[in-house]
Amino acid sequence: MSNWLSVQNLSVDFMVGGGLAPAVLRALRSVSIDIEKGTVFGIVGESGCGKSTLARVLSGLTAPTDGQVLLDGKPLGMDRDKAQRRRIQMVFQDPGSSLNPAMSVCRMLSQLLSFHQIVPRDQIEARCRALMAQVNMPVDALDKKPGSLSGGQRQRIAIARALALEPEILIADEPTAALDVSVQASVLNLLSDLIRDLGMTMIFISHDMAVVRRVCDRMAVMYLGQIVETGPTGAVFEDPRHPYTNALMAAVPRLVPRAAGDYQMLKSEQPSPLARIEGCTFRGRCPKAGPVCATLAPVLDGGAHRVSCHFPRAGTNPVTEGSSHGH
Amino acid sequence: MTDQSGFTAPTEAPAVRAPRKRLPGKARFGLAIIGLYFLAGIFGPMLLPFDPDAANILQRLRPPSAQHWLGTDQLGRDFLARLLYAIRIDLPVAFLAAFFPMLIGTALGAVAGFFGRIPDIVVSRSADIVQAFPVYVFLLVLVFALGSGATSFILAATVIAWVGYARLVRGEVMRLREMEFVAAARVSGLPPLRILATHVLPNALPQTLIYFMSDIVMMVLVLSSLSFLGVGIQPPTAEWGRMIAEGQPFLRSQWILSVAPGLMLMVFGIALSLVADGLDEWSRK
Amino acid sequence: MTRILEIADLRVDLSRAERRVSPVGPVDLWLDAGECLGIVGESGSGKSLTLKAILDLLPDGLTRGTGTQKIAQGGRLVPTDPRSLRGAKISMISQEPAAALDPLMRIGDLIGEIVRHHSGCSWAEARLRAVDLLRRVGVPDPETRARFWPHELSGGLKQRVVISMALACQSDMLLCDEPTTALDVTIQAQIVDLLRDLQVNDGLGLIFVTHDLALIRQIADRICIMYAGLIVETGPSSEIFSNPQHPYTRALLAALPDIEQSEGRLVPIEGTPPAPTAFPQGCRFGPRCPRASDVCRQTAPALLATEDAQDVKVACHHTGDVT
Repeated sequence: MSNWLSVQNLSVDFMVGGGLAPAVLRALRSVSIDIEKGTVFGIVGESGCGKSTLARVLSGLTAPTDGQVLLDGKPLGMDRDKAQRRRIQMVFQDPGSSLNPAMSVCRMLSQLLSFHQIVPRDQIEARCRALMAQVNMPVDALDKKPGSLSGGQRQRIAIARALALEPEILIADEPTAALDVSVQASVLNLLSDLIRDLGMTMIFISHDMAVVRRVCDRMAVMYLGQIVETGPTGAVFEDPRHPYTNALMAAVPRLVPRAAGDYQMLKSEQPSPLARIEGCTFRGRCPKAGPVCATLAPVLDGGAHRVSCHFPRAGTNPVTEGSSHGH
Repeated sequence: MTDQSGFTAPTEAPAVRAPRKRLPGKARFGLAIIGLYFLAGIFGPMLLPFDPDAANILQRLRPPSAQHWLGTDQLGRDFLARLLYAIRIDLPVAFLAAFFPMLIGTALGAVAGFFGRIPDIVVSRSADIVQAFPVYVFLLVLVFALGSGATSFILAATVIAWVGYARLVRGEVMRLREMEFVAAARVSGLPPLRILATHVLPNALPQTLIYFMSDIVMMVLVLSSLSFLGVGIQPPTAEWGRMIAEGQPFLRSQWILSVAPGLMLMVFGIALSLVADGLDEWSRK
Repeated sequence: MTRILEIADLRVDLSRAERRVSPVGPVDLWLDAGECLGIVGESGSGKSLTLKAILDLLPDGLTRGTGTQKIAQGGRLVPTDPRSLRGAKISMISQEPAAALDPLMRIGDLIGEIVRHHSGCSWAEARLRAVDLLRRVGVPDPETRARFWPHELSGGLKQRVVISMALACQSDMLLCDEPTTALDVTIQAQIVDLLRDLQVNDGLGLIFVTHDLALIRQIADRICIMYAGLIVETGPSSEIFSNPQHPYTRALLAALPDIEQSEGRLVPIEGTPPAPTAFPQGCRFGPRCPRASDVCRQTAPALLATEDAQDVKVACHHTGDVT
């Protein structure tokens, strides 16, 4: 597996509370991901699992406490130069606040085009129009300010802003969470088409499992700052190994109702990310937790489809249960 | 009109506002009154055949007549001419005394709010020091030290009034700094000062301008108060505050000498407040 | 089944408009005891306003128009003032449970106060009842949690507390306004399970409003699909999902990604829903409808029973035209 974009042992701690006894919020706990060029990598998890923090580290908005991000084998830190910044762009969750309300679409795009000298000055306007066409927006939207655009239109403009820099990697942080179903479909289609046509790599962050299944080639499931399961999207959905993945999938409402008793509902709620938990972070909610889970943290293990659990669900494919028997 | 609570001006503003809205009626009404003041200030003294500073002891304290529409003052000067001429002093001086603090305060507040850390500590502590003194006492001391007159008043006002703008803008900038469009600008590689100037400040501007409006009212009142106390604009130049003070001894016989400049002040203050209020509503729509 | 709520001609009007502008209505609704009615639609469809109008809790600038509302009292349906129902016959939970919890009162006291108001028992007894109610809604360790302040609870637990307050009111009906939208999916499953349990075992009538079609499929017995302030299709949940009739319902389902499917392209609905001040003449979905014809542009279709399924009603001129 090529590791074009490689996240290695990334940890992010935030100090919260301040004062004499600041608490440490462990947003990311040693996360490693390898992403192949030209693929879509999905990251799913519930609020507070660290998926947005991961996006912010990748896009250079948040400094990692430990670990590094490698692109083409070269480290990508916070102090990126102009050319490095251009390579990774991001589409944010809330189209209400991700566009400057005081700036017209045209000014916003031209500022970026001229700052990065993407096209000669006299071609900026033509490029702006081309970008509008790329995101299926009428050209007259260029003169508008975000206030007069609908949510779906704003998200298209936000995508155009990212595309303006011709990035190699597009990070989409819950790009459709604020949109209606009918609009979500058009934005998802647009993103898929762009990835296919432009050969971009996309990191797609979402809490919506159904959307991830449609869009992503590979995926990772996060819980409390850690990856608990990762693999090809089809494999993870059809054969979820981690009890959390299993519960997450089961909890998603479906159009074709499942038979009753098909899954176990998760007890209680996610512990606070401030809590210090010995052993497996999921054990408090896990139906399978045993004594070993309280003392020993499981390690993400396996081949292409890896899982971090002492008692992974026996899958249709053999899985190396190195962590549960190795000690 | 304006009070000290102006220093903690509202920081709540909508993230998104719809473009092209009509200014509320009250703002347009206020603007019309201010327009009248401008016209009166520019053309009034030109049309009246009197030198506002020319004393004529023989004509002193005359009641309103066909020649002197509002009568004459204690030195026999045409009162209407002085009243209108004062517009040329009060308005520009108050405007500048609010404008320079706005420039400086906005710049300092923006830097403090956007960069945090040391710039923020420096600006916030300096603001605390300025605010530790009672405004009028501080102002009086400064004007005494710098000498009377319009220039020293503007200087003294700048030293003190930047604090209000700095606090307001700092708060706005800190709020805007966390918005996703600022994060997007950072991801796209724009340098921090450019982000501050093109993405953050334009969104803090409406609130600042509203504060500026009410600050002008404040400055007209402060200037008049200082002149009333004798340390602002020096005689014989016409100035409303000074005129109120000078008319005081004749309050019983010639009340108009104190009341008219007072009314001029009051109406101007109300007009500006209406504009500020209307702008505020307008920017929130 | 006993009918506990019947509303005819429900309308929500703009209070200050030169002509009559109705973001919602006219809409007919009814609810049986122990039944869950789902109202589903996109933002701006008026689903939330419909729900709020039942208790006349409309936001400023909107008023409840004409229409009759009958409530079961002593075995028969009696016309009742909506305001008198609040916190008694009908309770409501919303997307933001914190808004319903007084931040200055402990959880146990909040519930206890309601218990006392309704039963007039002593404080000590009310506290015990409060703990019982917390246990009933699945709050773990209810004795301890009763002494918590609202801000000390997570979103899911807050929602449980608000539900327990509705139980304390001994309401027959619970109006749910997107109660799980702000919650994570595993917590959503817990809350939905709890509501389902209250509905089946305690006979609580639910009206559940959401934008999530899959969720409504899971919880509702009967659903109403709303578009631009009107019900366009209504009927038993299973019927609507297996055989959607209205073009809008079909389009919604085609736009929805399903967790069971990884292939196939989603089909978005072109255009945007109209604003209440600009509802088109004729069928309100007409301008976005692939099947719209001249009759659709001229006359609004009535909500009528279909030929093959009597309990399904569809507001479309072309029902049955195309399979």
